[in-house]
Amino acid sequence: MSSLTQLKQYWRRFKSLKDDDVKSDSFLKKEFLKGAAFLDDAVSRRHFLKIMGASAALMGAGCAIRKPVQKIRPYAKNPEYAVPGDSLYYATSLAIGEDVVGLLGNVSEGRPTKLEGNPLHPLSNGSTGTFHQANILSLYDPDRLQYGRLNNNRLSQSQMTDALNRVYRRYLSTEGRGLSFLLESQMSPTVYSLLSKLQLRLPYAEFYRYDPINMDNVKHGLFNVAGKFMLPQFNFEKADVVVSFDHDFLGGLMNHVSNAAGFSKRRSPEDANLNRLYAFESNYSATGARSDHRFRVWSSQIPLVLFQLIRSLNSYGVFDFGPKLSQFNLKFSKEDVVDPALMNEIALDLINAKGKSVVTAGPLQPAIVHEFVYFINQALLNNNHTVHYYEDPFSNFLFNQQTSVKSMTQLVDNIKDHQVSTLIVLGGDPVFNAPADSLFKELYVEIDETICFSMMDTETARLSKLVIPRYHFLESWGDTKSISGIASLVQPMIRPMHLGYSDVGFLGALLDDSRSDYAHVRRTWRLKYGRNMFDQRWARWLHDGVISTVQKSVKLSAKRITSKMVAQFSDLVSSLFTLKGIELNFFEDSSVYDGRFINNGWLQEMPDPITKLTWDNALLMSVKTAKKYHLKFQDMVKLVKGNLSLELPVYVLPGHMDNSVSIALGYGQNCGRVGSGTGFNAYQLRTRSDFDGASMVSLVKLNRTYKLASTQDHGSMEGRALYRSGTISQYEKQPTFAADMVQTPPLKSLYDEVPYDTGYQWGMVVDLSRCDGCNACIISCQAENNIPIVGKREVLNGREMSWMRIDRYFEGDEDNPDIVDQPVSCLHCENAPCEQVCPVAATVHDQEGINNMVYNRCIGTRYCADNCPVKVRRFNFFDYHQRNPQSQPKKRKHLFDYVREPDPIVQRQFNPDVTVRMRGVMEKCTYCIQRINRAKINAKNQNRLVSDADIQVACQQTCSADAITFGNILDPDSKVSKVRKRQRNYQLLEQLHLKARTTYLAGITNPNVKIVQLTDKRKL
Amino acid sequence: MSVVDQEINRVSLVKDNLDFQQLTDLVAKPSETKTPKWWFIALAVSLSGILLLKSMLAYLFWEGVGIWGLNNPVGWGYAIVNFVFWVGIGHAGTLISAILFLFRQDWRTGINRFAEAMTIFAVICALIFPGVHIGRQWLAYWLFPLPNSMAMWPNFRSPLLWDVFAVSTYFTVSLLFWYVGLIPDLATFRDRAKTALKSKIYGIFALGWRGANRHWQHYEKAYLLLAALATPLVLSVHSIVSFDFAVSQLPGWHTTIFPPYFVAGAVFSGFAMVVTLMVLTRELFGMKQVMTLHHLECMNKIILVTGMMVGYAYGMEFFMAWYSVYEYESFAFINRATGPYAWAYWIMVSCNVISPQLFWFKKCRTSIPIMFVVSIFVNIGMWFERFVITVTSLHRDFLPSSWDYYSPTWVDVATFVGSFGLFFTLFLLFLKFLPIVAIAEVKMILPQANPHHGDNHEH
Repeated sequence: MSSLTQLKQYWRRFKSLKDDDVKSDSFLKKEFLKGAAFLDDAVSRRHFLKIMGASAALMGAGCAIRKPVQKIRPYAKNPEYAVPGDSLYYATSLAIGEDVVGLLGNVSEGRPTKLEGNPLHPLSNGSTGTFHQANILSLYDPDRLQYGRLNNNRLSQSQMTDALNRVYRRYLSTEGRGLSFLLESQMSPTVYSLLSKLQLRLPYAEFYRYDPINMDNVKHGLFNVAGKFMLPQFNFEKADVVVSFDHDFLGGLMNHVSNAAGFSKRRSPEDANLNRLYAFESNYSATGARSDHRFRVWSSQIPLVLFQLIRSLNSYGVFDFGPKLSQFNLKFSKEDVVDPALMNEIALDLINAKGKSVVTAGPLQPAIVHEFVYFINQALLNNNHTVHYYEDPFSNFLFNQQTSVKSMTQLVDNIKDHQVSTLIVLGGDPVFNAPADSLFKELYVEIDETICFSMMDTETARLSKLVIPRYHFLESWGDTKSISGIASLVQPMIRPMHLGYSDVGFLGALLDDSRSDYAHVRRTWRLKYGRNMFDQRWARWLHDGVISTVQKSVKLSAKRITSKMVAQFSDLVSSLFTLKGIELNFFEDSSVYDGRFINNGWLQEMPDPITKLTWDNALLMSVKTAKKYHLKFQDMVKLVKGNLSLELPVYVLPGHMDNSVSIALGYGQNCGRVGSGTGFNAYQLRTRSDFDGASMVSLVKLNRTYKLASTQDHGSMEGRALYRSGTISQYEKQPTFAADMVQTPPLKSLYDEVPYDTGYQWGMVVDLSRCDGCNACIISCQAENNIPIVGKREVLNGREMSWMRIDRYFEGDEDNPDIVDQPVSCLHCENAPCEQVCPVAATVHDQEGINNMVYNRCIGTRYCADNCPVKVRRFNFFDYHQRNPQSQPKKRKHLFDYVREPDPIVQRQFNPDVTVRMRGVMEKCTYCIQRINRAKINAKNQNRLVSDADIQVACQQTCSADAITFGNILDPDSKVSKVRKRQRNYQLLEQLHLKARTTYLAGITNPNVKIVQLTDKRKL
Repeated sequence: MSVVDQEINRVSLVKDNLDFQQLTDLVAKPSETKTPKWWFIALAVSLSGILLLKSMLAYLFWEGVGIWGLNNPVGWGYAIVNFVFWVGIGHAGTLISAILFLFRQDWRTGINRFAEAMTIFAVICALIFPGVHIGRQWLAYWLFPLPNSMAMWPNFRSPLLWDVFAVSTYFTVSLLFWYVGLIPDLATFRDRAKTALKSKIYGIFALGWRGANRHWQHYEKAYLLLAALATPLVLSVHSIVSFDFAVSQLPGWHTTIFPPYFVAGAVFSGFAMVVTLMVLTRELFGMKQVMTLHHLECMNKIILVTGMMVGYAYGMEFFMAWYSVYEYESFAFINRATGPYAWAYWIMVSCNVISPQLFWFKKCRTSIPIMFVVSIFVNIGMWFERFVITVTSLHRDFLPSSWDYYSPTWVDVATFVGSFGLFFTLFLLFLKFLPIVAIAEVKMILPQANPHHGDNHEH
């Protein structure tokens, strides 16, 4: 078949159709050029790649922009129990002045980063105060003395040891003649054992003591009564009625932690019957703020008020004087300071609470006042029940039996007599804080040889010939013994960062004793407890942090008032009426204490609980006094007292006593990059004769002002139901009064509401009745969460970064208003207004009800902060770590990066579990999410659920008043779920339908109904 | 003239009975004749303003938002105030060109090009601020929904995000609208150009316009469509800007009256700005025949109306604060009028409510000095309005413990001044190089453009 050939021929190309057509061929060539698939060019693909590669290599070679190299190396020798990423806790203890608290140090990779209270230490019970929290920053203070100094020449460690040895050997021949020691409060048994060794070898060496803030008056008053140097400790938990005569037992450092714990236990009506606190004071103190009745009196008139109480008690036949009341030969006008009718009621209240009350007087009150306070407590059967007396364990040292003022006077006199050729200042800064009239500073430089043992380059250190750096307590071995006898160890958590000695080591070096600090401390306790089982005991002590928790109080038999006491008291009271002018009082500062924390940025920036001032102190005065002298906030005045004077700004504090002014001690030093130039030196006005204040001064207005940085400019609550409080009778009548104060229509969210009814749901409750506004939570939060300080100028700009703040409001008339404190941090609203407005979703809720901040995502529109009704969000307007005065230029600079960075020493404090935020991002309370996650991981590993025992957030953990409760609100066994059900519970701004996770328990006060009636009647 | 025009005695929109050629000559004159000295001086001043703005922004990027006066309760200050201020000014142009176009208000033709240009430049100034006021400016692009490997999208519930869309849309449409309107006039400039370069550049932007019938057909359709698109935008953009405030729950911000109140305020301030600039331009460039007193009077009437609307809103805010019986709301408004920022509030009220009342009188409405002063007052007042809303609400909100006072730093002020430099630079360039009057559109309303022009209706 030829059918196949018959098929149509399909042509594929021109050529196939017509082979010889040249035209079509050239056309084809044009269309499909040979080699068109290849780039027929001078630069081939390979060539191109070559050039690219070479230029990339050149580019790399030419640029030095590299990420900083930070090597992570494994441990060559693994420390015991150390798991990278996990914290280790070591127990220690800290004495500041005569206050001792047991602590646990949180150590991350060999760096202590946070201090917590030691739950096994009875004076801490797991909580701490502000100074203890902030002490971790002092450890990493780059301004610390880093090497020894002899006439401005650097000394190495061995040179320092030699220098100290030489002093010792030189004085061995003279048995210590001409050698003097000036000590500040020491609470370490090992130090005292070394001191007694010194006394033994150098019997003629002189020992003096000086503490600008001390308990001398109390000790000496009680010594006059009982012949022993004792200090009282109060069992506030058992006290129904407390009367404080100018004693700030809730605000002062001494025993604050245990006082607040005991006192607050009696402030929640659900837990116990409420106690009642009467406070008599001139300055407005934290104690005054917590009182149910506060009476403004001059500090100097406290003895008179005390006499009024005695008279009232006597009229009810309670107070047995020994001598008759009429023997009080009081030469004063018949005017009473406090309304006698009111005083009678107070007396009755005390009598009704016999054996269950506390009467206390402040350490600045003269010894005689403490004597009579003792007798009042005796008459009310409080001694040995609510008031326990403990003998100072170190009072057998003669220098401890002197008052600071007397000891300082003796020292000064001896220097004048040229009996001091070498003075060793064992801690403290006497050149700065010695009484102004002692002329210590002028005499100090005249001494042949002065040796200063100090952590900071204080004024004393700068004037000393030999300066020996002192270790921080977290670098030292040592021990403490509280007044009440609780002994505990001090163990180092980090190798000393600089040259120097611990307290023990300094005395060891001086004694030419080559034993280690560790050996010294062990020896002290081996001598006490014997060799038997010592190593096991020692291990237990180190682990627990306490050696003995036995507190042995002195059981005192009833004492009689002597006629000498009566005469003294009469003279004192009579002398009060010759005083004229304005009364000046000094008080211990809540931020710098006696001045030793001047270079601690956290404390400097911590607002004072009452004035809310940061970075400065000021002259506090009442509204009326300010008006009288035509003064207002920030006006500079000159305080004149004899030939002494001081210029400082005015802070008008409602509730301060009229014609009386107060200054906080410790400011106005030139010490460190943070502390220099802050505040005004009140020691310039402090003399030996009126060391405890109550001196008469005159005021001169200067035509200058000084900017004071306060974190809260507005003190009135403007009639808004923010801090809600009621009296106990209101509470009993209507327990839900707080929640009932604001009525809202049925509220509905625009968006679907998440039920949050499964899993963990975190929540917090703040008991306003318990909080005493001590600020420990603020500092704890700062330490835990790497919160920067911003400096005075930025506080003035209103940009403080603290995640937690304590709102302080005044209520009532401006002469004697109430002060209330409300801690506020992020409320973690379920319907969080901040979340909805963030354009980049940088703040979002998790399934556990926490309002999270995603720092990485935040671009910093600040819209969230604008829409936050409680304004708890904090914005990094600058990179504050870079702007810290202690920051340093970066060693390696590169493009688009910071030029400064925190000092490497400071960087070690940072909590490795918390991001350090850069500029331009928003931040706020996270409910310590790092702690929550750690607890969740631990619980999950152990196949169980998280319980209360697993988590404590930083603020809650440190709160000695136990005002903050945190946990899973869905867990019926958790404390927080129970506390939330209390009827006092209320939400802040509930009309906004926030459904906040942090709620408040209303503050409850317990005023004396009769006094309220009487004062109301007066007003009418 | 048509019968209707004769009977209602309409004012002629172009003076001196200019014909087509004269009109073109008039408008083209600034770009074709020697540039006057004052223009160079003004440009130098404006350029130094830009330099100031640039250095302030460089300082800001380097150092952080802390160089401004912001603090904890007052998280928004000058930057947001300036943003709303400039966006507000940017309202007049589109309103004139779109809404008045749809309503066939022929008098708009004399001023619409000018007003639209001002709109574009004002929105450019406005757009600077939201981008730089954030803490980490280099991440501003996160505000846009950009696909990314983490599937992280912006938060569509946030009014700030709506703002991004609203303002960028508004800017795009305004720019298109302006440009489409420019095409025939650019072609005119191209055709009149005396140098090759000029002709080339104008030619590129004229997109090959030859004035063909088909071109005109397309052009008019496009213009109408864009006008229809822009009209809702005029209302929406400032409504959405007002949502930044109204959607939050801050007393003083959380108010339902905000959208209309903001739109009225924006038109108010935009018109005031047009009057300010027009008074100067018509004088300096001799445009009095096209930008007549009648135009200005019409503008002033709108200023009076919108000023009253704004005044009504001020009053209504107080009424609602009282009527709501909500203490926080009442406080916010009492604080506005009597608190630490009362001075700002009363500047605002006197400038915005009291000063435009002069325009009830024809004499004032048609007096150049008076309207110039009033328009400046309105500009000041409207800036203060935004300041009052933003700052006084924030500085004292729910918890008195957080209350604080905000004061701007020199950087705040310099940045604001610098933004005027940018605005005026752009504006001066516009005056010199572009037809400041829509030649084609004005020609359409000339009596000569009427097909029956010259007809004798009597016969």
